[in-house]
Amino acid sequence: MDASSDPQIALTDAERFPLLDDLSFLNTLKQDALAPKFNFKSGDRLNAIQLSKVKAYKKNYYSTKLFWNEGQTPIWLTDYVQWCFDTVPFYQNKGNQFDSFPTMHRDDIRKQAPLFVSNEANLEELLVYYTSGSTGAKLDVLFDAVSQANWLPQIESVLEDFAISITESSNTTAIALICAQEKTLTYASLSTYLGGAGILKINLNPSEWSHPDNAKKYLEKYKPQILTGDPLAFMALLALLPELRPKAMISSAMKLTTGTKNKLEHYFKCPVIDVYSLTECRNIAYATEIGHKVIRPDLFLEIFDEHHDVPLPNGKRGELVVTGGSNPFLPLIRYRTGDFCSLKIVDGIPYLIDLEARNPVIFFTKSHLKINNIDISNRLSHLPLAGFKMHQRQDKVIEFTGYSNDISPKEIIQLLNVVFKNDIEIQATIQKISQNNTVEKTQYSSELLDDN
Amino acid sequence: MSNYNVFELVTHLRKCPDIFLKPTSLMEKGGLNAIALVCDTYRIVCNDFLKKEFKIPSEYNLAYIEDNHWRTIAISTWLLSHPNFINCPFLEDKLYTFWFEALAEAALYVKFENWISDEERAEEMVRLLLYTCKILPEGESDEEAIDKLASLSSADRQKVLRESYEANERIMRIKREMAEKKAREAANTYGRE
Repeated sequence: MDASSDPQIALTDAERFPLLDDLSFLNTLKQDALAPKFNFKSGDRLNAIQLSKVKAYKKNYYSTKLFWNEGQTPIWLTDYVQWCFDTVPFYQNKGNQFDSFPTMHRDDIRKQAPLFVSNEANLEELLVYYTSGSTGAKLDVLFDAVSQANWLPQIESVLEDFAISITESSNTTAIALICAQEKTLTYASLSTYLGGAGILKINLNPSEWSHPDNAKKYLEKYKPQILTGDPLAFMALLALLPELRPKAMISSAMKLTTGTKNKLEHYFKCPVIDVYSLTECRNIAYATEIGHKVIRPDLFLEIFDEHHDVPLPNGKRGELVVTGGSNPFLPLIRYRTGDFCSLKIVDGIPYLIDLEARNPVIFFTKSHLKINNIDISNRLSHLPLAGFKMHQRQDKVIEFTGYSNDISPKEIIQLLNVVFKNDIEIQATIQKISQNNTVEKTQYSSELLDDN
Repeated sequence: MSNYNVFELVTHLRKCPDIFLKPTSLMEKGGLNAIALVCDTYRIVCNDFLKKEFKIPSEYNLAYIEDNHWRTIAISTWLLSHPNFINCPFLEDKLYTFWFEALAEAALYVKFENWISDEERAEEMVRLLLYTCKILPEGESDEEAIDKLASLSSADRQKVLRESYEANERIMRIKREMAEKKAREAANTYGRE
């Protein structure tokens, strides 16, 4: 939630946690002397029916993960498309044949969000999530408590691959979402799905704590089992040298370089999992050695030509297109993610190969040799960079801004010179990671057109 | 080959004398005796002028028929006076459905005089009659006849308008809820996106 949307605290604890009677652990988390100055309140909002839906979602999709084989579609797809055709106004004039269904993109949702709401969706259950648009225009995402809580079984299924499970208990902190920003909403909460376990959203920014050391001490005291956040926040946490041994760290929202991952894993002694997720449909895949392993059997993924509504065969690189999900307020059919990769199915599980966020950007050497941003990402991934921005000016000079506490601009220039075959001028700066960063996601941009 | 020419029947219907537009005696003293009109039409269609028993609603149900519906029935009896329908006993058991079901629904949306003054409504009544009586219009296939009736149907058009209105109402409600919910706390966020 972006702070500029200024949502108001408007619920009672009974509305936040309809099924939890014992809120003592919540009060402990909030009232501890080390606790931050939480600026917000939040609950999972799950009532009995909704909780049973989350559990059913887990049982239906994650007891045995069934994806699809090459040349086939998932078994649920036909019914899903028919349901969208019958109940979702945006899709009603587009036919009910999936093969000929047109793609749609973020702008469609941004401009016509109400048309994506299924006629079956109960508006009493509507929740709105506002994105700042760090990778595009601002967007209101509509969802409900069930689709929000479905994040948990999705991530549980990822943790299973690492033989990790979240302990469900009302006296443990299950998840801490770590932020290192100038301003963000922060709160202590509980998860009904996890048996009343604690959920924290905290900001490392020292101004949010009564003493600078309290962030470290608070986390050490409540020992969250899973840390979530982006690489910048994790590196900011690392800089505090906390004595924390989480079961796993889930990194998302920004590209996690191998260098940063190694550094975090070395210190925290746990897997650091790089999850690819979108606000529009939450978790999609997580990074492995052979590519991003798809997490969710309730999503059907295709690769499309960037400019034309033409699906591409497995192995061909193009734009990732998503169908499915569990959100009745935003059912997706052929949603263009704006991210690029190829698709490969290994032992019945789809993998996204060479996933790169947003449009591929072509850079040029001084002598006009093309350099793909994927090659740059691959090279940079070995450095402990928490994030970076790279821009090529009209005069071909590369402007690079990186975020790291460990490397120097000289190392960046050396590495980029290798990629650009020593035929480029580079201006590099490295900004130290603080506990209150105001950076955007990793991004490439260029003033030069790809003239092929 | 059917000899029920839609154009000819529409022309006949639109020549309906004003007397058929009067309110019924059930509604107004000195009005048309609608029951007699219906029974006479049965007799003409059956070509049996001595017959006395015809299928009509019970007195109780007759009381619920509104003026616009009665006048619509009266106009339709003029349509049924066209030579095409005289001495067609097979129509007898279909007329009840036409008068008291099909026209009952259509009369909800069409003011009685429009069945004559508006060419499209006149064609709708003709086609509704032919469809209810399972008569194919001259030169048309089943599908064509159904399509043409559907495109004219006042009930269908109202249904579309109502659905469109309801859809618009829902969109407006979603927008209101969005504005309200956006300003309030939502639900736990567990990770970054």
